[in-house]
Amino acid sequence: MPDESTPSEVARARVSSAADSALASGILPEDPHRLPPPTDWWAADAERHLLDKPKFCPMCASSIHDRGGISTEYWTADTRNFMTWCGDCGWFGEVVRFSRVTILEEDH
Amino acid sequence: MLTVEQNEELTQVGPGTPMGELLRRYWYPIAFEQDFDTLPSKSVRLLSENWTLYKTPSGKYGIITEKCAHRSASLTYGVVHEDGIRCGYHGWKYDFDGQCVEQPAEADNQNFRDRVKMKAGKAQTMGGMVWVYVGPDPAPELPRFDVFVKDGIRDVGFTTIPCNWLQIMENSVDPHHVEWLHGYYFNFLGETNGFEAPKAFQKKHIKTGFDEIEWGILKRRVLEGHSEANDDWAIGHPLVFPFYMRVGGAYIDQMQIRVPIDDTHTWKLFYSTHNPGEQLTINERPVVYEYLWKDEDGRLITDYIEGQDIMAWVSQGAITDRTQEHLGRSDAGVALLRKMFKENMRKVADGEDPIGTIREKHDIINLPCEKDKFGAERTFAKAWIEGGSMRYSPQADELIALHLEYWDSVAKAEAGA
Repeated sequence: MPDESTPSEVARARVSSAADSALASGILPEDPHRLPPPTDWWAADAERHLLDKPKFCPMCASSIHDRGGISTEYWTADTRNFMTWCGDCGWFGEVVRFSRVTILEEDH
Repeated sequence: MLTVEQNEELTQVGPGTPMGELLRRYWYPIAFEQDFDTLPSKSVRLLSENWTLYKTPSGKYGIITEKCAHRSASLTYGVVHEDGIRCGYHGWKYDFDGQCVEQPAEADNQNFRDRVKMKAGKAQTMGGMVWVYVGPDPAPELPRFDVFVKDGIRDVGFTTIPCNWLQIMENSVDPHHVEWLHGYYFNFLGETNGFEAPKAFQKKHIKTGFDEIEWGILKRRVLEGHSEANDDWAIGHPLVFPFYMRVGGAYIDQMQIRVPIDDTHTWKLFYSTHNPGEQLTINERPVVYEYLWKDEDGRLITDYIEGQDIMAWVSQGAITDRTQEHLGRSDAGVALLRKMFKENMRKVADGEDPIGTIREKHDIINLPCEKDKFGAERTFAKAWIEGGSMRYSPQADELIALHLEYWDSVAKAEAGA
């Protein structure tokens, strides 16, 4: 049977399935937050953001969400950067999720 | 990118919300002095609440919830007394603190009025505008930022923009938009429609920087052909937390003001002080005018700088959906600003004063701001007035003449030296 899904639906299904399996295997904690409607243009990215954003402070291990912190995600090529502030200890920095380690050579 | 909940928390300004509680710790301009020349009271909306702002015969201002506690008639149509305001419907009278002090139709021997207290705030004037504070006591001092109290010719453009105030604030920590929206896009419009767009805005950004300072976030940039020695980096200019941006250059000092009316409307003012040379007559009351951002066909007007900004803010939606955004490295300032809001919501929740609260009496607060903007110096003032919202000012031609005359005198002095 031919797949009649649009490209964006396929992408979403793939990401959902990865997220679901991560949740099912206990790799990621269940997140209580709401997601945008699945019909939204970038719903799949919003879902990945929800699942991948730092849950705990790298410095004091407090919950970022429960202690009033914030983590804003931005991209550098394929690398996903989470600029994070801990509402408990005040740590402010970036948690970076990458798929490849890249070294930029200085001019030589 | 943020979560649904974070976007709501950052954009909801009503009473009882974390952002609403934070924003209630600051003074806001909400009217002009001339609004009270013919009428003693005015309805205003601030932080998702409706208020009556009034002026007594002796010139004292008060602000109180608009709907009378009795049966909800508007106090804006009330009677203004020297010591408060009285509802026009049944004569209930309220003092400056919102306490009901008279209920003419009730027997005088009961204490019914003692249990009626309306929300009320503080109000005072500065720089020709009426400022209000509607947060908890004790109210902080009204910050006397330099633009509002320094000498010069004052000029204020205003309009109401149908979007959340935060997306306007985020624009203030997004230096790159200048080179594209006000540079490349403006130039495209010029080439298409036969006018010359200002060159100063077309320079490429080489480096941008953000410092957290006492009053907010100091924004710096190095443009192509410039270095860190140029004013744009060496001095920069600040986003003044939580609802201003201070800009300036070439003897124009400007405060851009974004008053959160409610979640989906912002009163947007450009308060400018022009002070080239020393021959100036100071107008205590600014020249006030509404600038246009939509034409007769309902299309956004984008052939001037602030019109371009408004296009960007309004077309993002009334409240932009930050679960759908894709930020890049150049948006680091946006992320920093969100962190600053969260940090200060936390302070308020913990009973502390947020950043920018001032409790000491003072004459003036001088903010850092570059003088030589984009290296354009002598051509900048004219380009800014003609290419910005100041083009709608009734005194635009006089202001341009004033700046040109000053730079002519400088050129003559240099030639003679």
